[in-house]
Amino acid sequence: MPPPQTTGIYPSDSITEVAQSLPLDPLGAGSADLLAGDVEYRLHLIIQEAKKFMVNGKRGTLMPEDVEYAMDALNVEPILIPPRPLPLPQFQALTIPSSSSHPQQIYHLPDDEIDFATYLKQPLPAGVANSSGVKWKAHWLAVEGVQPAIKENPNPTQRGASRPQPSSTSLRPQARTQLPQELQLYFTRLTTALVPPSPTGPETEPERHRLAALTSLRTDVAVAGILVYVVKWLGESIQKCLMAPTGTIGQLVDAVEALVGNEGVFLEPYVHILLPPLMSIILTVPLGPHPSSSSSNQPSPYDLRLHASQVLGKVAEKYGRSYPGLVPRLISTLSKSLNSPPFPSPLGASNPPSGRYEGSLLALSCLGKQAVKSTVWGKAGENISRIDDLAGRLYTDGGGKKRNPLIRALIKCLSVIINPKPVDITPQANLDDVSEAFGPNLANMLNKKLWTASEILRLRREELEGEGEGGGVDGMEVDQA
Amino acid sequence: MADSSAPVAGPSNPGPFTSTSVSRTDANLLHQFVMDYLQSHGFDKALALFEQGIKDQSGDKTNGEEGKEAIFRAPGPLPLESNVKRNIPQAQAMSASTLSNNITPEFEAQAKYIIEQLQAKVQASNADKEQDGTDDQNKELKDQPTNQESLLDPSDRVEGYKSFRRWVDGGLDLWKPELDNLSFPLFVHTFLELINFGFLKTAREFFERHSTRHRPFHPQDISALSSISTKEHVKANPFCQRMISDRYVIPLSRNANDLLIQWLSGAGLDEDWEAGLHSAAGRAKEAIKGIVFSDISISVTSNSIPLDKITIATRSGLIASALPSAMPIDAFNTATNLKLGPPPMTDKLKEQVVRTLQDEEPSQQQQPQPNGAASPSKQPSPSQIPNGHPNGTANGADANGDVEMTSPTGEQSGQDNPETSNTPASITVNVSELKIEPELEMNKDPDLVSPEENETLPPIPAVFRIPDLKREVEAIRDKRKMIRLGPQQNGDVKVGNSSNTVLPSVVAFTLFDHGESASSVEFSKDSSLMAVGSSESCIRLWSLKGEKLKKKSIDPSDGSLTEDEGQPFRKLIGHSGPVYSLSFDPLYGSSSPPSTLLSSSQDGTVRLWSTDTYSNLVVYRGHGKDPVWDVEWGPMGVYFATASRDRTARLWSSDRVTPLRMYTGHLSDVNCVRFHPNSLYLATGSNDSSCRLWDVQRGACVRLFMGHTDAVTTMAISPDGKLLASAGLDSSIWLWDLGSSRPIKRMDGHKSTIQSLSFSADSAVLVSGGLDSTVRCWDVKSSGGEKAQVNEPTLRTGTGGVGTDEVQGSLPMGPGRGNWEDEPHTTDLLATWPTKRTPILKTHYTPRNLCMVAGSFVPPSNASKGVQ
Repeated sequence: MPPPQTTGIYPSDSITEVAQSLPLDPLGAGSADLLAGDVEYRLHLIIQEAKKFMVNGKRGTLMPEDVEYAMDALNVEPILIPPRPLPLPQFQALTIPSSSSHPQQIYHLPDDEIDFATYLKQPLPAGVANSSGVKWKAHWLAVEGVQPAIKENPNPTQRGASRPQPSSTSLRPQARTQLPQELQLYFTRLTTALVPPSPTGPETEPERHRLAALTSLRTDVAVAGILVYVVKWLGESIQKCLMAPTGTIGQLVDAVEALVGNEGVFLEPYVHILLPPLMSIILTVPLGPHPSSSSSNQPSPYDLRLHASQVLGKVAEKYGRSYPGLVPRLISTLSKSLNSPPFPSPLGASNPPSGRYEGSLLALSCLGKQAVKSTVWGKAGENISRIDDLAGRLYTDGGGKKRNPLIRALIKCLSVIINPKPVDITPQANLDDVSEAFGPNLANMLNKKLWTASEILRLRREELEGEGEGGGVDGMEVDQA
Repeated sequence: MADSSAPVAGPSNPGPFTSTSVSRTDANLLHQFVMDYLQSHGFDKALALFEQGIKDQSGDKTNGEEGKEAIFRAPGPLPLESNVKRNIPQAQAMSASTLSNNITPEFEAQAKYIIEQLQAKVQASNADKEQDGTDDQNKELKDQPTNQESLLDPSDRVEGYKSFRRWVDGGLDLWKPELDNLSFPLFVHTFLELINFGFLKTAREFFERHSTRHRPFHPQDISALSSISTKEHVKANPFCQRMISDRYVIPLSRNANDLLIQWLSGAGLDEDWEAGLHSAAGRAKEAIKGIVFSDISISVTSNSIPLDKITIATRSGLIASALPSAMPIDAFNTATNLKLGPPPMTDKLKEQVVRTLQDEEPSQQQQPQPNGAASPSKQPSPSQIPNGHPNGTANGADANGDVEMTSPTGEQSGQDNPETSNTPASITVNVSELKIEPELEMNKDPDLVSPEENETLPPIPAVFRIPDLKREVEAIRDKRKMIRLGPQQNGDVKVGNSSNTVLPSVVAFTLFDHGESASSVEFSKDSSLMAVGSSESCIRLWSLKGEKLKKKSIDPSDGSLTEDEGQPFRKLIGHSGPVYSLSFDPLYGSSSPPSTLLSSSQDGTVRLWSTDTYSNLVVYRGHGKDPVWDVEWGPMGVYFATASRDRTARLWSSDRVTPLRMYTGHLSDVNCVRFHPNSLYLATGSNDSSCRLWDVQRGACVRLFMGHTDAVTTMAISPDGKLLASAGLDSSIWLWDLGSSRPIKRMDGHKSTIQSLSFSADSAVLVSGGLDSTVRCWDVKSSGGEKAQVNEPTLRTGTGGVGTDEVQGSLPMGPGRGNWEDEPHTTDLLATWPTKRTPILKTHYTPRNLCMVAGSFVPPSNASKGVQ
């Protein structure tokens, strides 16, 4: 068989198939190719003609009508296309057995007969049925050349709609041209490696690159040259990624952590840029994609908040001394959010908006004993019962059995203020007392952590007895920090 | 060069030609030629196969001996160069030696082609021999070039095109645009020749490889070529036929032409080593040479200055078939002088207009004294007042009128200030002059010749009617209240904004729930009505003033005029296809709502509707079944023009159902028609990417504007009658000077098809709207050109659209901020106003320079389909 003479788009196989479906003698050799070429030529003619109808119809899309009119104009018997309310036809694939080794697919259009009576009785499509007909509205597109900022006009961000919108996971920044070539390259490589485009396993090449980049960020003094850009990039990326897969957020937090850990750079002027994104991670509800991805290698929002809280704690520890207002402001922000009333969850009742409280608790736990004492503990643990109550309300579905993250965060908080557990003591505590003093949810969760239970009971007791000793010690600790 | 002499060596060999009976030796001769050819091109296996074939044949041949003889003779002593050539691997994968393992159709075609060519050649040389055997040596020398050229194999042609491109790309930047322009016809001809000789696969490969380069500049032609796959298609395709029968005109400056000749004749510096590297180089060049000399006509300019891109674009192409007579496009375009002046106005009407205006403005009463003093100095402009009416000897009231109306004509060449200072005028006079000025702006240019009264369409009636008066009065009022747009360098009306650019205010009318089915929108001149033609064949009429549309009817009982209570909008039903164009009658100008509406449709009809009774009055059929793409009233009513798919534009009178004139000449659909404001000329834009200007009365084409790379979809003629703007699928706007027929500039910036263009009433600013959902505003007067650097930052940031990048760009980086460059556009783009999701179908300027645009909102669900 000779090779095809034309390498057009229209496959000669189609010709063969059609010929077989018709009561014809088998096609001669090569005639299918010739016919395919001819069919393609005719199709071009029709499309070229149809394009004119599209252009003069002042559209950018070729519609079935255009083809119909074009065939009419070319004196070809038109294919009657039902008017638009009908659903657009979908091509369906059929696999047919073939003589050759691989099965072939052909595509066909189900061409059902339309009964005129039923067609007319069909309900109108939504857009047409609800509309009261064509309307128009006038607005100022420009007043003396300036486009007014009214809702009818696109706002400035929409104006750039023609260029591709950044997808949440592709964070490919551009260093400014003021940077020397090498630093630009460094910046690009660094940012590329820090956030791999796809989720990575522990032993993959991108992951190794990421770890290398983190190390570089943690140890290289050269980061100082691009510090301002890295900080801004991190800040913007985190803001953009709050709904992104949690893995990406985690990577960004890693990067922040590494940057904070770098001793060779002078980060102080940029702390105020880094803090808001961290706080966002800690307090945002919902964090991460919704519905949350079930893949196991993605950290849970709880882990993320914890991680971010730890980084926040590091920042507070490192710069709290030189900025005396820093830690109190953080504490006041966190306690405000902790004490705020629960709001309706944006994701529906099944996903309680407890993340904010968890985050606040976790962050407070990382900010030191004093912070926890003053906000979470309150006076003789009275705040605890409030949180316990909150946990009960937010997790209505038997929060006792399920691991209640809010209580988990609370316990983590409490572990900051209690004394460390001695190795050799088997703690004894009456959970009923706990339940009575602080609430049933906490007591449920503490049944494995009796030491904590006994300690908080002790603290409460001591405080109720009027001994403010612990407070003094805590105050000293904070001073040391 | 040297190698291609090998096949020619055949005829010079005295062997076959010594025989007296030519017909008998034909076959042998042929075989020998073929083998010679194969040998010299290194097609060993092909040669062997061919020999085998001849041997087989010779069995049933009567003169088998001679066949054998030929075989033995042919291999003979090989010339040294052939040996060398054989050892060089062929650059082309298409070399026949690789294909000859199994004989493919490609190879068959090639062999057939060679045999045909050789046959023709032998016959030709035999004919020569018979003609005069005396100086056959000379004859052969003369034949040599043509014979060589016909003995090329496909790889040579492809290689020829490639080497030409290499040469252009490696050459001087100075001449690159000109020589680059030449590569398109070379490409097409190479492709067509390959197809014609049956090298379909090579042709297809060649096309796929090289067509991308030409697609941006010749989208239609390339798409036409992409469908060609056999010789029959070439014969059926009009574009290919034009390519073959016409000579493609390429403008070259003298130096570029010299360079080309040098390169073709092989005298260039690169020749020596190139010939050493590619043995096929000579043959490749022959291929190019053949095309250049036989199918392309090069028009060489007299000087050696490199041509600019606009010149190249406007002067190249298949011009010969586009023009009625074989003459260069420049000569054609300058053969006729146009009368582009504003239409004349009868004196009585003028007088009445002035009187009306003065009655209305008692506070602005002008004293006759200053006018009387001024009028004599303003009289000597007889060209403006045809037929030499006795203006000067008119009575007092008439003198007033003359001052009002004709003073502008006297002030043409900027004598305004000296003149007013000459006249012993008071302050009030100055004020009045300034007030009148805008209205006079129109006839400022002394070069424009106004038509005679009886030349216009329809001829100016001796007696004016009340609507005429109203219209003219309103026109002058509009002129007075008109906002002056554009850069105001010498506007000096107001001191403050001398260097500012005044941009128009734009009202956007957005149609909702119309899908994409609105196919035309039109505003009436008095801005009271909006008509929307839909692709479901109906026309909707709205009042823009919020009034109800009342239907008038005559009570049959007593003959009195009655009105119904009115409806918020009216639907006109009558067409049976999409309504592509609408036009309101201009009779009342901006003084009162129009009384009729014209519509054109896919069903091949034009319909006249009454906006008093909302009914169809007349159906005009004349384009047969072909859809009518555009319709427009003449500037004075009564006549209208249509454009259709049948490649004609036609002129109609509204009182006859058959067309009066046909304007034929376009090579494809006529997409749009526009009347010149003085009704003497008609501009048409076509799918063949050209615009033409026609003399309405004579029906002759007087101007041809070429330069667009794709279909022209819309045009506008400036109200001052001097400029034509055209735009289309190639997203660029061209501005032409009608008088000199020169392209002024190209304006780039739109990203999709442009659907509508409008000049402001003072012809200073052009507004365009397109499918990219933006309205853009262009400076007509500035020189334009490619954007060199950001040189007008204040303007940019002030005008929104373009400046937003800078505003957002304050952040140094971030995802998605990759594009720091402004979108490319030419410098004369004054402003860009994007809409949310509304592709703009229509732009319109009111006489007072408020801009109105309209489009149909595309809901986001159709976003991917609707908005590009």
